[in-house]
Amino acid sequence: MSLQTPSHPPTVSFSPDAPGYVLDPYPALEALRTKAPLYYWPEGRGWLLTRYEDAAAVLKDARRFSPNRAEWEYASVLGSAAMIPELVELNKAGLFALSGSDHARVRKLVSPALTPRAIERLKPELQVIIDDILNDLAGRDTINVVSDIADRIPPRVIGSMLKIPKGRETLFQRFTEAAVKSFLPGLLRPEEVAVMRTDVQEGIALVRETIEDRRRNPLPDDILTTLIQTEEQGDRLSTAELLSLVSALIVGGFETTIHLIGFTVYNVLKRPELLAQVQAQPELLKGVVEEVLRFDNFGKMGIARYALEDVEMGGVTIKKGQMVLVMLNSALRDESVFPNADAFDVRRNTNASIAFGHGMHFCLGASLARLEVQLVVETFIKRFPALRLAKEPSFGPHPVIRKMETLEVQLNQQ
Amino acid sequence: MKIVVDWDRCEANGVCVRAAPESFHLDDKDQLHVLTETVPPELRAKVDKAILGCPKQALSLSED
Repeated sequence: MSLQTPSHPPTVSFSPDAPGYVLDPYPALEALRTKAPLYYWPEGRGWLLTRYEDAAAVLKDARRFSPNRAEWEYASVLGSAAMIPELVELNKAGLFALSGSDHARVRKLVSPALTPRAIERLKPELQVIIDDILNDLAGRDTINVVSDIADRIPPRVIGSMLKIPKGRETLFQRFTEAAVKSFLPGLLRPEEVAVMRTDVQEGIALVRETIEDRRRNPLPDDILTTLIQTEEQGDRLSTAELLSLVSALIVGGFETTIHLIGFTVYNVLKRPELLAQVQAQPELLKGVVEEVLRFDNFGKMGIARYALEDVEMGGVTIKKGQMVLVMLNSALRDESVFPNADAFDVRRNTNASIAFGHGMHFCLGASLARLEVQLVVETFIKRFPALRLAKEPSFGPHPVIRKMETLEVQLNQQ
Repeated sequence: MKIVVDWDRCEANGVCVRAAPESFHLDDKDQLHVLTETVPPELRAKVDKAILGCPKQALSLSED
């Protein structure tokens, strides 16, 4: 069955840049979900899918929907300009762009390093990093959780996982910042580009050096050594693929983790009764993190997929080459899957959550993110038992994330 | 109904363990174990979620 008439009434629109959207996108998303769950958004040149069922179906359908931007009808016009050729090259073999058997092969080689058990073994290492970062807060009265804690965690964790040589952490941090920014060319000022290119070149050299060193001097229980040595039916990762993977680790694990930390701290502190519960029973934090991902997802937009053929769905035709934005933030508030979806309930069953995606691109770093965020928040509230929100967070511009810029928290009793 | 694992595909990501801990277990060597090869009716919904959610499509149900 196919309906040729537009399924959306003209009253529906979508303006992620409208005032208030970043603070609370949920009324706008609910309007779409109930009035036009498959809505062609002319300004964004893509379909917005806001229902859980459609979201899960598209993410699962790797045969008809690809994550590869090159499949987009506007790829040649609007594709991110090759401002930093080194990064384009670097990301070519990365997990985000690969599909089909290439993706399956690389993913299978990397996955042993990121299984729940492998991540559990990192726990002591993570704890040292977190304690170190929190130690720097001693004597402070009010801090910004985003810049004083969250921003500082992922570079240290990933640097430590890869055992980047001591003294080179600053360069690694600049490299990681440049790698993340390059995915968001809209936010770049032209004068930044030259500096970024240098950071990226030096960063690639550093990672390459680290890989070569590890080939010569393998370390026990080491992710990079495991990746170098992993063989799958005689198959090995090339240095180019290893570089791409490191960059995927950075792009996938940075802003996402930073925001999950910020949003989790915020959601706990704005509910003093929840803070008290979590202080008494830290094991509740598992459910808290899952519920923050569902109820207050930091995503501003959605996950992009590109149709590989014409697809009939929900009464509309998604044409070959068209972009679909899978709006996880809306799908995770879909009443038909999460009863009482607009209520924050840390004890709810979130098994159906697709916050880490669904299908073959399901976040490989999910276990790491979960553990990292739980440990940071648990340690933070244990360390500063009197902490409370100093003011509501402020948000800044970002193409795809509800970017929390400040989250001011008072550490000690006045 | 029996749970079938495609061992070539399994990557031990633990998604099934989260969805149906009664039926799936990862040991400390990251080897998956199926705890309820035959699916009891009360676990069917959870097992279905685990199968559907498997990123690698490594799980299925067989008739016998």
